[in-house]
Amino acid sequence: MMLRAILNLFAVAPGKTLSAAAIAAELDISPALLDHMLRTLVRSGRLVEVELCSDCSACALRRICVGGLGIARRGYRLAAERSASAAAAYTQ
Amino acid sequence: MPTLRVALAGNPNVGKSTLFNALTGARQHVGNWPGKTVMQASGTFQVDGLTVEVIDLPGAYSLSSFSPEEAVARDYIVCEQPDLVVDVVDAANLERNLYLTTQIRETGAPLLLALTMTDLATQRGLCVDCHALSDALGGVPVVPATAQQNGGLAALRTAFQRWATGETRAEAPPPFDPPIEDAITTLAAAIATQPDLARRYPPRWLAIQLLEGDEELLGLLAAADHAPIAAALAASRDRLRQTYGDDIDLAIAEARYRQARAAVARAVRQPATPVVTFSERVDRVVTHRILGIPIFLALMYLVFNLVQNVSAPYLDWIDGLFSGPLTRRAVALLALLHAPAWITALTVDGVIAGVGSVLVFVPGLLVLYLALALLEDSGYLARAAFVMDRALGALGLHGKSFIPLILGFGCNVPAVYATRTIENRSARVLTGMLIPFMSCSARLPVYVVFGMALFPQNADLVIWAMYLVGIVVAAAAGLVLSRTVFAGAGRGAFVLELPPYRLPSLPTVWRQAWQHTAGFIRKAGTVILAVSVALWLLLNLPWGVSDPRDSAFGRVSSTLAPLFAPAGFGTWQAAGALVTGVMAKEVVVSTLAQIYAGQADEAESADTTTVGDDLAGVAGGFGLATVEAGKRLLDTLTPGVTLFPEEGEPEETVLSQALRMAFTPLAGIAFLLFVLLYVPCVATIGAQAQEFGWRWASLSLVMTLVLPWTVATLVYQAGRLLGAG
Repeated sequence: MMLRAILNLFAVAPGKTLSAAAIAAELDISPALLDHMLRTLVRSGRLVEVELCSDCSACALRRICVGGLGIARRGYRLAAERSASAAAAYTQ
Repeated sequence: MPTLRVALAGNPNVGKSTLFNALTGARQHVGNWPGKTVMQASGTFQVDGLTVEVIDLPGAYSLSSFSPEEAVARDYIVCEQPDLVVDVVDAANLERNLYLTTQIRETGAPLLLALTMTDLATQRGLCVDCHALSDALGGVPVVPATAQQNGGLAALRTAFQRWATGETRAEAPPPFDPPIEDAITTLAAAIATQPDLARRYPPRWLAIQLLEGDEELLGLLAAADHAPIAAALAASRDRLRQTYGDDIDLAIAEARYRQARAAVARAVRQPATPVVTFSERVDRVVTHRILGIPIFLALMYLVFNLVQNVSAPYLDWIDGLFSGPLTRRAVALLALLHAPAWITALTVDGVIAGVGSVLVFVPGLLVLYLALALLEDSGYLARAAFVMDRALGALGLHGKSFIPLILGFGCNVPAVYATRTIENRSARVLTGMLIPFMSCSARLPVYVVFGMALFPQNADLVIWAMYLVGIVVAAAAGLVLSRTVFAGAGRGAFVLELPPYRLPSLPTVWRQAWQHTAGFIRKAGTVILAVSVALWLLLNLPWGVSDPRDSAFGRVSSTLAPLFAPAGFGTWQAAGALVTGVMAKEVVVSTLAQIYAGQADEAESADTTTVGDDLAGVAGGFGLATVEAGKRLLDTLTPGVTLFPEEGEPEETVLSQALRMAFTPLAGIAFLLFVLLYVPCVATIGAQAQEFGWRWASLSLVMTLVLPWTVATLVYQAGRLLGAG
């Protein structure tokens, strides 16, 4: 079950930032399919999509901010900070 | 004349609009979908007596009510019931696109697949068998239809004709897992008994949506009081929960992905050896578990090497400009205006010495920002952040902490505000406490001036080491805090989509680098200018004081100086610079410059150089600096090869000479460590108080006073014990 496998990664990798490309390789699926699956999980309310510094021109901090801008297009996190027990539900 | 109403559906960016334009040409109508801000486009064309009306649906990854675009596409297909839905599918990303296909099949709408991007698929070594794909999809016609290829459009037009004559029809979609299929059948039967619903929605499709928990349709059900359906739904969901828990919707989605994968497995021939993209090849090295960090550190070393080597000639040139022609002209002008002596002293020893000492770093910062912008625009900085995060994540930091921490290298203030993206408060505050240890660009001038004065051969190494120490201290502090004060802070994982590598755009790189450098110049003209003027006053109060040590500033600094003696820099000048440095870290340099400039001989006052000489000197100096910088750039970019051996000793500034007299190399290192780790600046403390409250800001303040003193003292005393003092 791919979707559950992805949620497992979120739940059992505390404190980690995971690369979408690396997850796709680990699950043996294309990055494009993983992207779609992540969107499906967002749609289902399991994940939240986070826009990261993707648009410098619209950022109020652009005059003082150096580095880090545009470092990634977007990211995903669990919809709620899930406790270890909630996370365990996904691993079963 | 018969009319065929065709809806063009598909994922975003699959070439749907291109296909629409190619089919309909200029005969288009553009507007908004009723009640939505989503653009609607429709058009017509003729094929052998058949009028085809094409409606370009918004790009959608699925048929849900999640986004306005998806809701519009879904409502049109389900409620408006076009004669034919053409699902435009990217042949290079077939698995991903077929998810929508499976959903359209569930609606029961007549379907045809138009394969685009076939050329890209071929480039990737993929071979799509349209017949096999059609078979895998229960006979749904599949037509290659890359808009740029005329043959593709002709095939699509023929397919429309065949469809209009009823030559092609597809089978129903395959069933879901038995428990889900049973629930769908039961629920669809209940829906079929409600004529108002059954007329509007295909019962089977509606049953699937309700089991998936589509909020819009569930709301519709509740509003219309369809009690039998609600009861059937509740019973079905209860039964399914025994098998799938709360993941009924995921089980349905999984089934669609399985269908898509099965179809791809039947219809797509993959290359014998998978095609690895350039980005993937580079990522295998630069984000490697072991190699990633050394590569990042090596690149950073190269950046600081460039900063030091390329900017040094300009630094000397600007320093000469401020201490020579600019000072001479200012003195001459003030003499012409019969300005009092104190105005001249304020201008020369306050404004020019203070602001000038900071402005000399403009070339260095420009080089730094250019290098960072190049790395960022190429896509590497995202990988660097990822690699660094892996190290920090191992120490218990939140997955999203790395963004504010990386921002901290630029300026701590926006970095503190950037912690807002972390929802968990404990994780947010913890990250906010660590940001001051990230060496902001304001600290760079201090490293450069000390590095070049005390370690002229290894200044780049010193600068690089300071950044590294900042990261290590932040990691160590994070490790301690996350297990003590912030034990239990949420540490959710975070999946990141990294941008592809690309050739940096030079205008973008320049614009970004200049924007940041201009910000630094603005700061020099405001905060640093104000502090320089205030400092000059304090250095001259009580009025007429001859020894700056006896001034108000000197006396306060002298009181504090013994505190720093164990760390090796217990002079009033160093203590004073650290106090004013709380305003902004660059002020550490401007304060030292003002103090030491006041103590230096006024050698320039008797100068008789003309304006013409000065202008020629400035222009000539700039030319020489540019040539020298070019040589050094080539030398830096060819490690191990010295193309241009250095000729003679570099010129020394007054400040460099003074620092060498006042600091031993060991004391200099201790001082730099203190500058790296102590209170970042008042603006950062204010930001921390605003974001986390004064309690946490005060804790941060205490931490950034105690820790740097301890580290600097330990390093100095240990160094002395080892005989390095």
